[in-house]
Amino acid sequence: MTTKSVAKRRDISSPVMAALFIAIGAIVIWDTTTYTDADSYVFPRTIAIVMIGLSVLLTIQWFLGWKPSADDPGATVDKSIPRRVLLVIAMIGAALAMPYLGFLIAGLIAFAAIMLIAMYDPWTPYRLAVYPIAGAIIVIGFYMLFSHVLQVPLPEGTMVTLPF
Amino acid sequence: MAAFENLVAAFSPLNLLLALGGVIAGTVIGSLPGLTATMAVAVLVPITFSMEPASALILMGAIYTGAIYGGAYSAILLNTPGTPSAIATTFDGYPMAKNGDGDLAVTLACIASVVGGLVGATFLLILAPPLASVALAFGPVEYFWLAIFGLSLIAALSEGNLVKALMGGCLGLLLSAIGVAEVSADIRLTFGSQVLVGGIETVSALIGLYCVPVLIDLVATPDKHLKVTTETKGIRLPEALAISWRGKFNLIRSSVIGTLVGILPGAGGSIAGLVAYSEARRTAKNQDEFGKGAPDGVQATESANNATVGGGFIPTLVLGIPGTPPDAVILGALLVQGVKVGPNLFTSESSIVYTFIYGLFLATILMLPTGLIIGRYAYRSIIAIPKAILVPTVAFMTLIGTYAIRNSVSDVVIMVILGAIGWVLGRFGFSASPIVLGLILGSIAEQGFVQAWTIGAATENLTGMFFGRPISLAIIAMIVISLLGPSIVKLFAGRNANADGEEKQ
Repeated sequence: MTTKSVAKRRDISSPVMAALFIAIGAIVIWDTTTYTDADSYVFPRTIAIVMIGLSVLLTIQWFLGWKPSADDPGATVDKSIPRRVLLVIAMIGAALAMPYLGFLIAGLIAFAAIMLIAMYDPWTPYRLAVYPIAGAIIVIGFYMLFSHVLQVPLPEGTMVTLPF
Repeated sequence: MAAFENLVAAFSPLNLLLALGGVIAGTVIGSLPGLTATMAVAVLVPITFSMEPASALILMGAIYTGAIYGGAYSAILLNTPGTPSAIATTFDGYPMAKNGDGDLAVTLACIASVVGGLVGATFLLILAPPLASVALAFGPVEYFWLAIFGLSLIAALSEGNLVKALMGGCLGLLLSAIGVAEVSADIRLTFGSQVLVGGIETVSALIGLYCVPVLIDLVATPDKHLKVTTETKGIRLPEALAISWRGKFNLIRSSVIGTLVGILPGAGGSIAGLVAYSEARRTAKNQDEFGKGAPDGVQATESANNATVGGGFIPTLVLGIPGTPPDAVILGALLVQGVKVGPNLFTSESSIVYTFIYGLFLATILMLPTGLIIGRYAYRSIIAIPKAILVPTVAFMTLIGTYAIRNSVSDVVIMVILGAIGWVLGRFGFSASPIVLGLILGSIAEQGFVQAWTIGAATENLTGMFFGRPISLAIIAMIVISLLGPSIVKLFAGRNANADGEEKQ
């Protein structure tokens, strides 16, 4: 009895996720009402209905105390959340900055920022000298590979102009 | 004569270079724990977009096969599988390393991987063409059922809760519907956003869903990704060759098991390795040595997981249904190139397929010298890469790679956001693979369904249209098998793995 209640309490994520998926399904069904052609709405609407049905099934499983294996979200709480969030922000920031700063500068800034986010060791003089140089070589190397060898038109940037 | 031309094309200097570079890059990435073969292919795939399709396939196949082998290094030397495919390699590889035979185990793994890779590629060469001629008889209904068959793989891909996996699959299907509808040109699920009108680009979504969650987890802890714990003495090739010759039946049997598991859609290298390991143990005379450093265990796992590469390409190329998760990425890349994967590929563009298959042989053979050299000299420098360099490098590669697909900043933003969503969903037991499968198979399923529906409605025989044709019925039977079969295989492999784990303790 006790084990069962602990399992239910720990797996509170299942009904929450089921509710989220039901909400997504409902939004999709609402969106399909605006389409003009039956060919457009029959497929997404069917899938949304199936997804809502599966979400209900997941909730029923949870009510019955059935606990799936190996998906306990509580296992990672002791790890750094800020660094995770900062990583995502740095990557999105780099993407949004590309049209203004150009791909190379946005990439260099993002690389430096992510290096700081991933750095747990103390900054020794050796690391201070070598890591930024290694980063610059990697970023410039890939930039050259894509822009000059593979001929990908990487964004040049409206605020900063590069000589190459 | 055409076969000879394709053979010559596969051995062109460019393709030789690509196969060699692919194997090296794959081995290096695969040897780093946390970076899987799927991720290796996903990160490097944009480099292939400017290439000829056959060369692109050779490069991706080489990366894939190298990454599967690379996973053995850290499995043997650190007891940490570099890729999930190498899980069973730890059972005997690490005890061998502890006994001072780590170098021998690495060489054995390399030989076994080459044998497995060659057997898998041979099956691909022999089995794929006749299967393709059968698949040519398919109409829209059959393609619809094929797509559903692909989606039924969710059962095989799901590691936790089947319902959650199916929900993820539905989410993937809905993601594929975003943007302009193919049939009627209605704009769907964009909610007024211009960013979403172009739809979600498959490969960038794959890069986000497979790579970003790994990066998010890497930055979360100060743990070193690895440490060197054993000294290596040399290659010990003659000794390894002698052991491999003695274990030749084990090698061939494990390779055939690996190929068959690879063909079984959705079941990848990790399941192949576990099944082959338990089979090798069951039939061995020296059962007591398994788990304590038996070379047979390393040989069985490593030959089986590399055989899944060739095996997995069979459904990928013939039916357009990925046999393993890295095949899903490769399939997405081929769609970007405009190559329509399916039975017609073997008649209309046979030169691409055969050049690739010979290229896969080439890459596998090249794995022998490169694998041995990397195992001997480069491994220490690979694992010495600090996390503060590794994480930004991979992050930067995802950014530039995603942008290069269709020169779109929106795709990059969508990639990162999908990656973050994928990480959150992963925390709650929703793995990325079902979402990816839904995304890839969405358009095939929708087109087949709508066409079959239209024909069925016009002839007033909807039931007969969907359930009355013999090939459809055969595919429906396969759907049932794929839903039930892998669970039985997993159960079987898991039971043996547990027994082995208990014995180790």
